[in-house]
Amino acid sequence: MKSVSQLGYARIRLRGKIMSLTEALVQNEIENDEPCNAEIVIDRIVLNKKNPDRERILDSIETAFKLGKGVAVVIRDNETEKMYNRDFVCKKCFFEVADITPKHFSFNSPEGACQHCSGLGVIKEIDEDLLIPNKNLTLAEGAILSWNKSGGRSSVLSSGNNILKMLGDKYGFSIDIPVKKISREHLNIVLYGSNDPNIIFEGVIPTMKKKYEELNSNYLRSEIEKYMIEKVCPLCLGKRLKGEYLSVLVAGKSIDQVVDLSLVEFSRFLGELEKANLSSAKKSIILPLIKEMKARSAALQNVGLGYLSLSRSANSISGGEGQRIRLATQIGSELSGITYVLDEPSIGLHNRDTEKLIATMEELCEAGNSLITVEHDEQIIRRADWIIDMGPGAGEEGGEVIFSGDLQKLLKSKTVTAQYLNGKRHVGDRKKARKGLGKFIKIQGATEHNLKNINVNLPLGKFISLTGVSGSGKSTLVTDILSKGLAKYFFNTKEAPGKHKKITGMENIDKVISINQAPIGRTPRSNAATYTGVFSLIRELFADTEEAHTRGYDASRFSFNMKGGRCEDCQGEGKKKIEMHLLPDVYVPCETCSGAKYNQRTLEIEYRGVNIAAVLDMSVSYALVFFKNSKLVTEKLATLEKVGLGYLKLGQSAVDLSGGEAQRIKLATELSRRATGKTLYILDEPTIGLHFEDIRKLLGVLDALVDKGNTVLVVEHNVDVIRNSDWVIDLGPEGGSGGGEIVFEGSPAELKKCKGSWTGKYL
Amino acid sequence: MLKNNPKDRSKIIVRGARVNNLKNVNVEVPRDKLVVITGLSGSGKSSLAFDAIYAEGNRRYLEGMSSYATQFLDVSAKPDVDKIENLTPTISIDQKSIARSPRSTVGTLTEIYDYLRVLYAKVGVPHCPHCKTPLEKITNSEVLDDMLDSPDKTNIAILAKLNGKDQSLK
Repeated sequence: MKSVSQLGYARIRLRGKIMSLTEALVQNEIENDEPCNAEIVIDRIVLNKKNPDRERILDSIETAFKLGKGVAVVIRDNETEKMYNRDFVCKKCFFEVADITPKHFSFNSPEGACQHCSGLGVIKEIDEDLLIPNKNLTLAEGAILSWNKSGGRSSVLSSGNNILKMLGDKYGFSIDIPVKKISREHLNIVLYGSNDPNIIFEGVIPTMKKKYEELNSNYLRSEIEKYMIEKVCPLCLGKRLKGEYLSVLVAGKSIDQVVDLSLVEFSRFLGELEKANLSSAKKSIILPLIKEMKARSAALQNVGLGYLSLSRSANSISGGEGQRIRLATQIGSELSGITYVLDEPSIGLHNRDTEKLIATMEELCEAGNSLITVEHDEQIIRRADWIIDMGPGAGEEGGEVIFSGDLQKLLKSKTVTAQYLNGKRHVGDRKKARKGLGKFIKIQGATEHNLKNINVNLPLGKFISLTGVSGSGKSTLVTDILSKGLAKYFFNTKEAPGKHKKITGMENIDKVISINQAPIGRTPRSNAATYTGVFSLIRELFADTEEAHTRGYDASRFSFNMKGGRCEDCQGEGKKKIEMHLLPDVYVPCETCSGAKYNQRTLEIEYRGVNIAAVLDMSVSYALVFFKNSKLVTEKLATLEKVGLGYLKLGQSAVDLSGGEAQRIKLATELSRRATGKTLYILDEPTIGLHFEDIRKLLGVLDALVDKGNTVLVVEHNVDVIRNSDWVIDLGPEGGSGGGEIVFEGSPAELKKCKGSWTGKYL
Repeated sequence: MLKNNPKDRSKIIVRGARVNNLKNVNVEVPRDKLVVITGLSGSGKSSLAFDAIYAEGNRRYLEGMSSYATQFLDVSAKPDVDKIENLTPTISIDQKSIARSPRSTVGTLTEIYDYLRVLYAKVGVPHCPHCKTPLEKITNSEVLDDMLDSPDKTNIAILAKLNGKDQSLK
């Protein structure tokens, strides 16, 4: 109160009475009371309505707010009292929100992010079921897996058991009965600790959590992560922001509701907001914002992404989607005179959406830009102004421009591409649909994402295509429900499949192999030979030579990734990076091994007159002939050749591989595993990056698998593949919430007649 | 004299490209047009589009910056091409160039979310998260207007609450 006088104010209101400050000090001393309800009198005026001293009053109000931390009181005639609040305050429960700025709506800034999950929406938590997977074990037998698996040291388990025994004695449970018989209450004490302050034991889960936060070692953290499961944050329910900002509404909708809308619905929301009844001041604020958002949203819809929602996380969008997002944002930049270079923007697009994409690309051209796109899609080739055909073969046999000109000229030329375009060649012609095995895998009541409680039957022993426009729920059905459900059944994985009632018929197959779009290793130390495992076999062949035996070299000597056989100067990379500081880095071949990757001693070992470095330089087709005596090696190499990778050098590093090549290496690896005749193969758009000719080869491989009794399920947009399958399932009819239903199930010939199907239209 | 012989700028001309497996490729690409490069996989499509044309366009553009600035940029080495004429700055839109962090969403990538944040901050109506009633706040001039509503010659006192909120004032 003394400092109030130091601030220069003379009067104060204490317990409802205005008095001078000295008076107040005296009174306060008598009553020796905390000045709990004191207010400083900032200003007293007599209102002159005609000519009010606006500036003085405003000034006083400002000061009052400042001193009162946002709360000011105005008293009229010493009677009526009114409180004003500069912050947002709830009249009922006095909940306060200090300030609302754009950063409070950002889940990447500490001001706005949910404090529990720091804005991620999900949180890693230790899962009881993973911690105690077998509830039939007793605690003494090591039911708690993390204690059981401590590197074979029994001390942790026994000391843990001592703790548990003491707990059991205190609370009256036995550690020698199966966990499922221990009461929930007692189990909670073991897992989460008890409330008793005399017990030091914190509980298994809090101890692990603490360890997880404190540990620096990635290995130990990943050990604990095995018991963790990603859960939706319980505080923000996956909405990523603090509660107070989630309850800020525009046109009755909170920001999390708006970002969950699909872009089509989002544009509609903006349209309604534009027309909404608002004060003109507010309108002038929001109109430019709405205009900008509408333009961007429309651009995204024009590249066929109308089904995406703004809240969709970047790590769950596919490469093709990501590329189209960038394309759409480029249009907004309104640059001209730029050369855009695109890599297959049509990947993962249904034919219907491809047309929208072409329109977008043409728009960019009209704005005065050049567009160069690498593409195989027939629709885009037909609409291009200029076509360059490369070939004639692949790898060493390619690298030449075999045609350059417009479509009319191309159709008259004799290149492979032209032959497919003018119908002289076909990707494949199916004579007869297979009968199949008469058995089914049935998915019942699938409701994840936009799926509308559908039942899907997959006939086994057939080539099945799953199609539908982008966002119709294909990936949800196949990846989230089928793949995860089967993986859980066959491999006991911990990821929970998407919502569905049940999957039946799993006993009719004995294995599932799914090949998705993720790239293989992006390290220069991985290559086609190491990935397929053929290199280990070749290394063994080298280790088996007489000279290697005499010198005592084993297979690891022939690895360029391990110490021993590799050239230590470049550590097996074959080249060295020279930093030029101001100029770009330059790679030069290692002087010691001249790019061979191995040291001289290793290179002296020869297998049939060829050393290990020379093997890495062989193409797959050449190696196939060279290693014809080793059945295991040729088997693996043959699958690589079958998927159209015969030109690939064995030592070509993974970083230099194109996307399509990487995916086919994965495919070849899976194919080289022995087919049981009862396997289900799930492929996510295997034709990505493939030319017509390559697709023909690929179909041959897949057909051979089905002929052996296996089942192949492909998620595909490619018309030729659909035409060649035995059974087609078409989802739709539209993307997003307008999809998720089965439009058609049956043979491709019948699909053509189906009127409601977009796919049928393009067949 | 130069005007008599205006240079034809309607084509990007690539001469002697030998990147990866390209065999001394000469090709002309019309500008301001939609151009498709097709062919078998591994036939060198990407090498021509990305490793030759894009890399050179990007390099030339970035080299125009000061050498101080270029050390922070990833300027690629000169591709193995004899010459490329009439090239404009290039932008590559490939499948990898998107930020794949759990902190990015479609909203942040397209920057729509940034606009949306401003929209909510400016015209959003805050509600109490517990009882769902709208929250209110007031500006200085609104307080003044409210005051002026009372009859003439009213005695008015403006007070600041101490309320134990600010300990330094005690």
